[in-house]
Amino acid sequence: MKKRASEIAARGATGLGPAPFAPRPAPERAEKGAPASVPPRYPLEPAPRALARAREFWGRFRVHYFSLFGLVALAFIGLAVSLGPVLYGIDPFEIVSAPFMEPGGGNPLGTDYVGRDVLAGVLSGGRASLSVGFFAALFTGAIGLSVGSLAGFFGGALDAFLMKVTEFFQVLPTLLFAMVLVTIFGPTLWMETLAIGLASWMSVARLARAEFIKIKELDYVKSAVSAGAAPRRLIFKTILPNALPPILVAAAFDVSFAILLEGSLSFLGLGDPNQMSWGLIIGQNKNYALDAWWTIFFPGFAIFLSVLAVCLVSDGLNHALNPRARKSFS
Amino acid sequence: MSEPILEIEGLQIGGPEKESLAVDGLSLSIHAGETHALVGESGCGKTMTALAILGLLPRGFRTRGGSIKLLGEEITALPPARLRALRGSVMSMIFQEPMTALNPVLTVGRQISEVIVAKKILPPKEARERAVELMGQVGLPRPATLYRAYPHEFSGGMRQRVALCVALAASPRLIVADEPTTALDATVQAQILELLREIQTRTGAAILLITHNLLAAGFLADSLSVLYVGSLLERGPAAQVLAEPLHPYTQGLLASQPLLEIGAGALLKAPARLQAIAGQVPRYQDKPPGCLFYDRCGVSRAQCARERPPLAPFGASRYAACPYASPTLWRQTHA
Amino acid sequence: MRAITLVARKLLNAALLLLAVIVLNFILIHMAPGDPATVIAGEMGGASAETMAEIRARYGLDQPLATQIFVYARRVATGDLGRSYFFNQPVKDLILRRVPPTLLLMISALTLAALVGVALGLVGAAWPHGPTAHLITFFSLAGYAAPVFWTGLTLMLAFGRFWPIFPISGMYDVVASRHGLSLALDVLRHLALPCLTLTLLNAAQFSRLARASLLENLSMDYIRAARAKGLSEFQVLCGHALKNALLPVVTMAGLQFGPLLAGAVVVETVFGWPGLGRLVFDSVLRRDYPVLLGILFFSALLVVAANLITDALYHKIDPRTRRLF
Repeated sequence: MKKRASEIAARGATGLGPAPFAPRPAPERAEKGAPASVPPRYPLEPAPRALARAREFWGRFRVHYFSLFGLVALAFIGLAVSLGPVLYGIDPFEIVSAPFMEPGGGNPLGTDYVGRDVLAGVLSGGRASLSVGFFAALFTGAIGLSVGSLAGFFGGALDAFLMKVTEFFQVLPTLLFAMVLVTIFGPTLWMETLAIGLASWMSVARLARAEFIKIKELDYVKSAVSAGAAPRRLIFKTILPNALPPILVAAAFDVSFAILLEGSLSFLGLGDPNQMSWGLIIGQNKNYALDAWWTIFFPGFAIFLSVLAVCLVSDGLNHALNPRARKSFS
Repeated sequence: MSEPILEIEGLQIGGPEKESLAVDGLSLSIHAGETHALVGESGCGKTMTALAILGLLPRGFRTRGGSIKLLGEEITALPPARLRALRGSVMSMIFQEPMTALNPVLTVGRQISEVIVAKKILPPKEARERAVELMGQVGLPRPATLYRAYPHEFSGGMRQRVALCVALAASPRLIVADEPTTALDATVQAQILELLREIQTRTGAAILLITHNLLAAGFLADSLSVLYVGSLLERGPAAQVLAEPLHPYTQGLLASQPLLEIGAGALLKAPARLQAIAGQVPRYQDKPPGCLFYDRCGVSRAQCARERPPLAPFGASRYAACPYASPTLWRQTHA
Repeated sequence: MRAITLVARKLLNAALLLLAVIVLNFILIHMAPGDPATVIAGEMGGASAETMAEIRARYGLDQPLATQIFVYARRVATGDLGRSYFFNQPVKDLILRRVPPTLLLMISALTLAALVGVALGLVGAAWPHGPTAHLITFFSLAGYAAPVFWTGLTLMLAFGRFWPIFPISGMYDVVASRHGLSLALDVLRHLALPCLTLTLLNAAQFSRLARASLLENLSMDYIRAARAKGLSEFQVLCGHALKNALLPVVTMAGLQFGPLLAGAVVVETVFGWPGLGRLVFDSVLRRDYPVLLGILFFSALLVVAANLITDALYHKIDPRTRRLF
């Protein structure tokens, strides 16, 4: 391990030795062998590697108890929303008893202003809220990623143009724009999803652009460029995998934003009228809030809990995917 | 002899990991009008020492042993408020990066005068005049105009002059200068060092100069300590240490630096060729059990790996932590 | 000179953005199902053949598209946002009458939110660990996650039923006729709940940002330098860190204007506040497209103006963006 004085002198004497105080790799340390617990960097088979990565990811995710709580809450909400209506078996639109029945008794969460079961509403209302939230975020991510990566990768006039477009969309207040779109093109679930996506992709685009610009300047991308890699290969094989983690986190966070937006839209009466949703229940009962708090509280709490859970999960994703990132709730 | 301004005895600084020490057993003393240089590679605990003196150790780090006396007063266990009263007025600090050590959204003048006001030396209006005067003294042109300027309008050298003003504002007895010239161009470095010396003659302040630049140390320092992974390897009068280094590490440091003969300080010759020290400074968390320099040393024996040699006197005023310390080898190669 | 060019460029950019909004509105009218004239008349406008003919003439709907867009843009640029056939009034008048209440609500909420948020951020940064930090984190997360209409209705329930100290609807007492100070106080009382709702929503985000920004600034060298000067922790926090930390807060206050407007729409619907939000809600129900599109244009105008103001404010705070010599 130990260098002899002659060796030191010889290295220095060439005049090409490393600068005296420049950081140098420590071959000695590396040769001493890493502890057995550290997985080898390049395993032979891809399958264990994927498994190890998943395990590493999970290891970083689960140490954040809040994120774990978010995951559990999300799983609970998902189960309740997907299986709940079937198990509960009451049609959310059906008038089952007198209006304004208090929680407990025949209707666990009471009835609304026309006598519909609130629990049935909360259970099936989640389907609209969550699926719109999920698909809108997917849509947001798709537009944002395309615009951002093109702008970041090609730069120049295309970048300037796309960023102008982004700036333009940012000038329109998200909810208002979505409202106008839904009003004009009709209140269906798909239109809601599309409108929310179209109104809120800008932050992902900016993030993707920033990531692409950052990664484009890194040495391994430059060397790939100088090796003559085609743009398509560069974008999809070289840059995208490295740019994806923060974008995934942002898209996950956007699910929460979309759920909130969907809530507001259906609260304002712009949701699909044939589809029960949390915002719709509150919107229809808002004039009776003082007499029947349960018609407001439970669906609102469902939105609150879902948004909270999605936020916490995206925060955990952030910790797990970008261990060094600082942006965090906790 | 009068009481030293700063006296450090067996200082130990520990990090978040319980058992390892970032600084272990550092001792030095500085009298009024003197400069002591703390020399070593990055990560050897120089800045930690400086921050420990000011009581500004980062979270997780704290002094675990030894003593720091400022004007005879033990300051390692002082309550924060008392320590804060000493900072700025009795001791002050100059930082390595003049780019980041000044607040970008405040005028440089305000950053100087606020010390004077905070230490209740002068009321705001007079503090302002005093700040302008100081700016003039450190060689900033048109100080009254520049008072209202912001740091981004200054060059690196000018900013370091401003930082000097900040450090001098309340006439402290001790100035801790942490790599004050490292971030500057060579010509500017010389100006700042010259200025530091001039200030010292005028104010009689003690200076603790922290640097990895032996040239700067030789120019400014009366005495010199060589720090390696938190421990002292050599200490002595600066001129003697630089002329005839005892410890193999000090010798390696000198041999790896292109030194030129400079006028007033130590007599230094450019070595015939540069020799880098092989290997890397170990982290303080994984110190070897024996001599800290064992891995990279040219003269080490098997015993060095087992026992860590203590700092032992060598002649009248010099100390080295190596049983094989000797100027002979150095004399032969650098006659 | 430089400053003038910069301002001119910003203004030009703003004008271009607004022009783009006009084009968007035009496209939306033409993409909507049905005849553009019907769209403009509004489904519930009870448009007679006469009205339709008038609309066709006004908007040049029988001319080629390029001419139409030109006609439309010129109308909007001269302040003619069309006519609401339901209210039988020019859209511009309708909007302008509704703007003051909305601006009152928005600006009071934004100011309060920024103040509360920065104060909470300071507390969170002064004690970055332990229960205080957790509490602030929870507050900011909860403030984001709670849908604004739910918060509003909950507050309405709390203050309307359990502790009735604030009126829960409207902008002033319609029964009593008041003037001067009495009227102002009455409006303030009515403002309390809508403003509180909107403040809660935004303060949460401001506190999160202010805390993060302060903590980041507190790890900077100049903070260590300020501490080395022997300044008190308060002086370090408020004298040195705060001004730097305010930069992102100002930026966010500008960016927050659009979402704030959207929030105001919902809050006004909940509390019956007679502003733009109410108008949006009513126009949606009646499919009064000219009003909706007019509001979309007008809110874009507000956002663009807010961005310009933010820019100016930013220049004022950050000396690096201006030159002394």
